[in-house]
Amino acid sequence: MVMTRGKKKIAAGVLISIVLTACGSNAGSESGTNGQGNANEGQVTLQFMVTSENYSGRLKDFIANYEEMSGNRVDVQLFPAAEFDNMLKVKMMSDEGPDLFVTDDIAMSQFQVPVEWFEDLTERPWAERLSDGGRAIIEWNDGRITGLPITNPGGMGMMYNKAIFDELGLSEPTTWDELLQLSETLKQAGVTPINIQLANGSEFGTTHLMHQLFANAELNRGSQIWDELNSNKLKLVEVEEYEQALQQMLELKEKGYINEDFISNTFEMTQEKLGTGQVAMHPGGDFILEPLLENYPDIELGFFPMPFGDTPGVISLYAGVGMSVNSNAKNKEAALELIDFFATKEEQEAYMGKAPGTSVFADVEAEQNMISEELQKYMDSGRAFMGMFGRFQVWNDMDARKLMQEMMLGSKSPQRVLEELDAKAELLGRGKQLPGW
Amino acid sequence: MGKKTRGLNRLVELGLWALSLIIFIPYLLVVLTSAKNSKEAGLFRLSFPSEFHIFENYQTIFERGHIIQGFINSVVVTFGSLVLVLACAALLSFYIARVKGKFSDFLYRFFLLGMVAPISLVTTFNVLKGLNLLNTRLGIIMIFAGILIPFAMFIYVGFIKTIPREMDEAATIDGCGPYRMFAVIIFPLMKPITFTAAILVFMNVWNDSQIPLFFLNDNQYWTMPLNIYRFYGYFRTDWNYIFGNILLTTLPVFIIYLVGQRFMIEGMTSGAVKG
Amino acid sequence: MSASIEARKLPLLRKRRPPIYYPVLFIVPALIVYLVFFAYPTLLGFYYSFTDWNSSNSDIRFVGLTQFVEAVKNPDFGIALRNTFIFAIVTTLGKNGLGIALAVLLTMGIRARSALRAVYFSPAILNIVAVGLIFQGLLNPHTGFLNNTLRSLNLDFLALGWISDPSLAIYAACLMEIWRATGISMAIYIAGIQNISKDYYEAAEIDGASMWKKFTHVTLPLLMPAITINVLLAVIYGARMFEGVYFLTQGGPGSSSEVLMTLVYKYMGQGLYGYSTAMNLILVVLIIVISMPLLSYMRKREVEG
Repeated sequence: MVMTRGKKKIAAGVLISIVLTACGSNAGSESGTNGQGNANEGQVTLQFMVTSENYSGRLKDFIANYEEMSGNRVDVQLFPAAEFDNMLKVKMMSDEGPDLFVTDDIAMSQFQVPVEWFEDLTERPWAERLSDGGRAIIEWNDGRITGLPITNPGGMGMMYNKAIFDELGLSEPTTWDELLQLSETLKQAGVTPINIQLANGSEFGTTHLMHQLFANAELNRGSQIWDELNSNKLKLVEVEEYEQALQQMLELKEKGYINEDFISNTFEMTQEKLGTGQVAMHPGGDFILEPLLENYPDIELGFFPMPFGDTPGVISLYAGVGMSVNSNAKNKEAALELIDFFATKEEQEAYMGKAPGTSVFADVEAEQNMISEELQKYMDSGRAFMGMFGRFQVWNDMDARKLMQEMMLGSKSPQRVLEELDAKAELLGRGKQLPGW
Repeated sequence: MGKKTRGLNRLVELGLWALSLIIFIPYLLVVLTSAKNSKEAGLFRLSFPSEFHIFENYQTIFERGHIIQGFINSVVVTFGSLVLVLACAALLSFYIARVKGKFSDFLYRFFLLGMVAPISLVTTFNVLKGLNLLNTRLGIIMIFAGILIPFAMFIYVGFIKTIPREMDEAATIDGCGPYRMFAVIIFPLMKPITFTAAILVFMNVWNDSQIPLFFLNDNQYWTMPLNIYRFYGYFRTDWNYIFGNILLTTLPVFIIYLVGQRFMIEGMTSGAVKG
Repeated sequence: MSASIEARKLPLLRKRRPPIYYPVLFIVPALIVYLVFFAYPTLLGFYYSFTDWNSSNSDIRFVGLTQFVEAVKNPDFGIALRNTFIFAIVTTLGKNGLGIALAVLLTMGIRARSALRAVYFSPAILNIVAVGLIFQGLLNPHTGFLNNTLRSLNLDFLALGWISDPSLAIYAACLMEIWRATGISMAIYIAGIQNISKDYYEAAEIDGASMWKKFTHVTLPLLMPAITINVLLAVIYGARMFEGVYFLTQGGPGSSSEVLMTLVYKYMGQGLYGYSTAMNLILVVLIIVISMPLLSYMRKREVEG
């Protein structure tokens, strides 16, 4: 009958909702282990926020090891990188923060995220085991240690296909002109000299070129450049090295030494192009090796910094995605226990064994990969500097990445790019009420 | 129907079917791509897969995509919001449509403004937190309700005004108190517009990914659109998986749609908006 | 029941009308939900746009209009504003123009009209994230379906940059939204058309009106209420659009397809909360300023059906 149908619908709806709610709450959550915690006395469940992209196999294995060792459970909460920062901020601000969380880059994190959130790890027992080089990479400007890398730290330089270079009799360039010349040779031989990666989400492939060129400013001016930039005494547009760097990048395009489809070139496409020998050089770091070698195990890559004018150029370092402890963690002790466990020699060696590269610990025997070996040389000879994102407090890498798209498409000049970066830096500086802005 | 009209109709029909390719082609692309291997998927051709990977692809998607859990969550949230919005809005709109005066006008405008403003994420987060509703589906339902009641009211008020007051009077004379009058006489008359409103609410809630993302901490409570997003974040360029996930996520809705579509559209069309 | 009502109604009505009691209680549930979960946090959010609230500082100070000034000075503000307008207007025109056209065609008495209506409505049930991803697959300039097809038909010059061309990106987003949501407008217009009494058309027929005349003199004027609602909702929705643009282009390439909501989101992500809510408030004011006059203009043109 007409009159009761409305009520029936409501009643049915409510009933179904109740039933489904009851059913739904029994489903398991994304957990790092198979062992269902039968509530042990004192068993703790740690909340660990990780970006989906960085939830690697070896991280999963480590977490499983920890759970076995400690009897605690780790509840891994995954979020896509684009949402991660927002989610973390919202949760932290409402005191719902996880016990452990990842940051994009340990050095960069000091600017990205409020410093109060990080538990100071400088006094942890393992801190003394860090190598000098390792410590220099992961410590903050004020010397604090706040995290350990879960992806290998490394450097941004130009990787090149050794086979192609050998075939054409090319050697690593030490000046810009030499680079242009060998690019011409490559072009004539039908190989795209340099790969530019600028698809949405993959633009880091190009800022990696930008950062290594930018690092020459520190080489020339010393580390006080950071004090000057950070206190707003110096603007980006006033640093000639930065403009020259961008001009060099543009020159590559103008001379036709880059791939035409750069704007839709993704990280995966880059791997294919490198692996199949369509491109000879690509700016980046050793993080590309794991996926690349899976599909193209025979490739051999060399590594050199992009030359800058008449100089051979420098490498830009990054600290790697880091794992940190929330200073307001509900289960701080257990969280610290986890990170201490991660820092042990056995765990580190197991971890590094799955993806060789640079370890930050002095006593860890880590196999080097073909790139990190080269990188070590540059680090030892003082030709490697931490990237801008880890030193300039109002740097937003995303803004730079988007501007790279516009610059390479020709809609903004290098000078305009630097001016806009300055404007955005000022916005951030004023917004956060940093001294000097 | 004259011959000329029939011929014209045929032509129009043909034209519309041809035009509908614009709709079908993307669907076809999704289906075909989901059966391919990753490399071929990235080429986005309307070709048959050279190797059929249906089983492996879907197995992976099921395992990683939390399809069923997501579906259950979506149903709970959508249904709950539907009930809450329709009930609150119907009552509210009835009052506004019937009672004259400044207060009533003010109410109408007050709620109307709610259609214009997007929600403020952090402050809402704190509200939920204060009420201990964070990370609950009930909390999400409340938020959706807060946002959608204005829209439902907008649609309802116009329609109620077309129900003659005599109905109210008749019911009152008959001894109905206002509550019974509403429930027994008026609400059933609002069936067509309730349909329209229900569809609008359904589509807004089911497809929303922003609100669950922000207010549901636990992955286990995530709704289907969110799972698409999370899946995409993980399998960035494995378009075969991504499209397969989209297919599975959309399938239940599509089935419901095919079965109920005449209902749905007729409901919308008969719940005519008279302004 | 009716007979006795009639009998009892007549004498009563002649004497006096019983007061009908509409309890205020009716509005309470809606009011509670709306106030607690929407109005209060949103207004609080607006309050914050007059402060310097950010993620680095726990003291919050009142700063007047500073955030608004900063917002307007942002290099991306001009583009975002322009794009917001473009998106709102283009999608509104598209959805409503096509919607009316489809509605007219699908009320002409075609045999397959139910099926066709279902087909044209179907994209609306898809999730926006999914649509964004699908369109990425369609519109990618180098590997996307559209350009591949155009190239194989030797129509290379039509194979434009779509989502990777700064001047086209926002229009690509418009295209996607029109594809997705035209069916909804169509359905509402079908309703409107079905509500138009046949008498009008017969009268027009008698007057010798052509199909076009029938459309412009009968259909359109009587559809005005539906048009008002649809256009208003489309404009508001278009101006507030976030997910559609974000999942297709992420505001790119560069910042060429940013809209105000994507900027709001971006700065919230950077921890500049006061700034972000200020931009939000600017958007809201903009929408009110545009839609109020629009609403009254359209109301004036409505004809009682």
